[in-house]
Amino acid sequence: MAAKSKSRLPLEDVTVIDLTQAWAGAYATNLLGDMGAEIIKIEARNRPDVWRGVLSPQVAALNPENYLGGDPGLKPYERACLYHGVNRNKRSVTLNLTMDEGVDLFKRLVKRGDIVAENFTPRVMGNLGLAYDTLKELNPGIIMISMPGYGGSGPLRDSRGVGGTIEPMSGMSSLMGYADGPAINHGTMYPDPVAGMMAVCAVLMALHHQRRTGRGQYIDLSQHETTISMLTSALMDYSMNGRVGKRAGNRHAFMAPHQNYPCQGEDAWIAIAVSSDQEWQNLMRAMGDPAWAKDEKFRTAPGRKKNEDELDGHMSAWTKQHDKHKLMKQLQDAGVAAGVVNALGEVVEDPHLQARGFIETLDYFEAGRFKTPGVAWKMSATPGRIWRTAPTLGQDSAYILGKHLGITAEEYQALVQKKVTGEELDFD
Amino acid sequence: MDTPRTALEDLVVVDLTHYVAGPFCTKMFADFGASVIKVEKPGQGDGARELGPFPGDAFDPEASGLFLNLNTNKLGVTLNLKTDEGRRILLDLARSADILVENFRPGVMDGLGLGWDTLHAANPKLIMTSISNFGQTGPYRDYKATDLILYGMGGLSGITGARDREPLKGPQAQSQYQAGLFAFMATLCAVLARGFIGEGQRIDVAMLESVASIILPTLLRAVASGTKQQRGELVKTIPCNFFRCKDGFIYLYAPGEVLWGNLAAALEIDPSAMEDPRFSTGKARFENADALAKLLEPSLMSADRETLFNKLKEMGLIAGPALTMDEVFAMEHLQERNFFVEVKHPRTGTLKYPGPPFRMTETPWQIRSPAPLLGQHNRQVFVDKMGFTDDDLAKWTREGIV
Repeated sequence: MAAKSKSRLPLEDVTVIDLTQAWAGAYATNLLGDMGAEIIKIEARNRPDVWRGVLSPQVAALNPENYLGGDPGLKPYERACLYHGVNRNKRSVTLNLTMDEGVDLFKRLVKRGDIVAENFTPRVMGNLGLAYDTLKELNPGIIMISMPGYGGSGPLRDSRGVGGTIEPMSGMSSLMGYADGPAINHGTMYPDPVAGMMAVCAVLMALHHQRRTGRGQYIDLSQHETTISMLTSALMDYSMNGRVGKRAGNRHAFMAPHQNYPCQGEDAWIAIAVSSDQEWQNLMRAMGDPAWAKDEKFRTAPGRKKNEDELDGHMSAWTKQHDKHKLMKQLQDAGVAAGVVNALGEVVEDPHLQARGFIETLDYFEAGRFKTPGVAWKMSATPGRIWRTAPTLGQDSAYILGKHLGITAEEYQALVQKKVTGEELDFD
Repeated sequence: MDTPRTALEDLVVVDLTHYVAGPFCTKMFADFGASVIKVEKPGQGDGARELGPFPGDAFDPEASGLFLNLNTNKLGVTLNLKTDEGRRILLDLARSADILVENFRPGVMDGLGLGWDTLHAANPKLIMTSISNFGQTGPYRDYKATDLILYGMGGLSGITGARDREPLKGPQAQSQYQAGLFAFMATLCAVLARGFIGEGQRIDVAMLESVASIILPTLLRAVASGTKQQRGELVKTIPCNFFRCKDGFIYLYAPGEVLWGNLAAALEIDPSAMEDPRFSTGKARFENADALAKLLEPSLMSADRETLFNKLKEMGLIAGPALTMDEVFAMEHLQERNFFVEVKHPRTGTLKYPGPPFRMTETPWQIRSPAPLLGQHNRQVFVDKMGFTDDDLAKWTREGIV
């Protein structure tokens, strides 16, 4: 791979005006930023990104685990981990879009931009006088993407949704969980990153089209529909056979063993999946050819599947005696698909991910240096890069307004006085 | 300038992928207008053809629901890449293509004599996208994996499920869908970059990194605050979880005191319970989850999911019933948005498929043709497009090359 510092960036000529908040939209612009686009993140001094969390240091201190270094500090909204998780490589500009001057500056930025991204509920942009039809008049090449929970039309148009409620409504949750238990969600708001990725897919196609024709367009993305699009078998099985899928924990339609098995230590697990007779024989050899496996009922894949409860009992009794990391290596060396279940903190210590340069250690100003997943894919000629962690509120207001709109330092100060922009929270 | 009808109609993709991750990536190309030539192994084809679901559960490699949905709008040819002639034809295809996508095990393309150096020499503008479990480099490069293993190693299983039980993966090979999307994004970035660097490049997508990437904020919170997120405990406040009601499960989202107050009012909870110290703060409710569930139970069990959802929605609250597939297909909202589309296939007849993942006004998603039968477009691609003769095709067929 080419040296990171010298190579060009695939989206270095792209400017994104970013009104998104929280996760889904902010992840989309985070990915575009990793690829070199200039991301102008717009917040209001009286309405910062909701993922900056609570604004009061006293309230923030009740949940220190939400802050960099476990410490909310005096400005907890600059140290919220979730905010930092999806806002690297961005410029922060404050604009009050309920003031005429704020709207005017926003429109002037739109004239200079390629993409406007937002994830408000559908009425908000219209109410601000910033609907797509208005923006298109200013810049026919502008690409605008809206990504509310349920899209811009239909009876649920104005329903609010968050990842936690969209996942069950997509049908995904009813397919997840223990066979004897309730529907569950992923241990994180899964529809958010899915919508974020899909938004990038849409925007990059629109950019390709714009570069060829000069024309922009409007993209209506429903987080609900993007989540459904990640399922195929369950949809097609219903479509073909009218069948509604069941929850089955980690079990697979025909692979067995196929489970996370307990290992030595607290909450330590290893995933093992056997997909062929050869792998089964490899596994038995690694286990020292135990007597129970001689039983005829475990000889074929259908037999193992049919007697899976008993099989899992034997497997667990064996895996419990082993360290998960050593066992992964031992099984992989024997030709068995196996992998440790990593806790979040263990992922960034993984030797393979480190060797590939995927894990980066970044500076989070006075909070310290932390390891984080880096760029999500590798490109040989124009790799992405991380040039800064998330900006503080309004950190780049003067720079961006100067660079794009020619606002002088004096004019900027006047705008700060009028509370159109600035670098501090303001609730007066 | 003329308006293209589709976003990607100027792009030609040679598709060597199989199963889910690669085909999902190239489906995005095909559904948005690129010309995608899917190359399958003669006589056998993509392994997804054997996975089903099948209509009436009758095994038929031309009727697998997984294959049919992931391969819409593609041209299907067969080619034995282990023969010299097959390899030569593939190189010819690559010479006139913009993109080649593959998801073989690392090293297989080199072994076939179709590695990056060869492809790049044949067509310097070609973008080569490789998708694999662990990537093309690193100590685990040749490790075996399935979705279960990637979910665990990437950090997503460890936080999914119940604290006192085994970690769970997501449904239906999510890691493969994630990697498919990352591969699509990466490839489009390379298409845009080609505009100014003038050349193609090599892309390496690792499914393990896809899983670890999508949980970025959740992961950073654990790493940077030094705290461990317990399985199934995303937020330490409730109600932000599933509750049982009359006809199934519903997710209630009411973090913070204002929403909790509104929710309690909507569910007609006895106001005196609000004074109870067990329920007075988010943290207290979290620590007394069983008592809270008991408190809400009578109200929730007296209503069905739809009634509850509508009632809470009217009061400005957010909830999500756990819908089953029949209910998803029946959603009035999706019907009004025409999300599901009908696709006619020669073997299965007309079936409903999931439709546009998002709506683009100028360059809409569209189905032009169903997934190809094995080798359906051999003549169209080899003879009509590439200029070989019918005799060539007949000879290749005899020799097992196509």
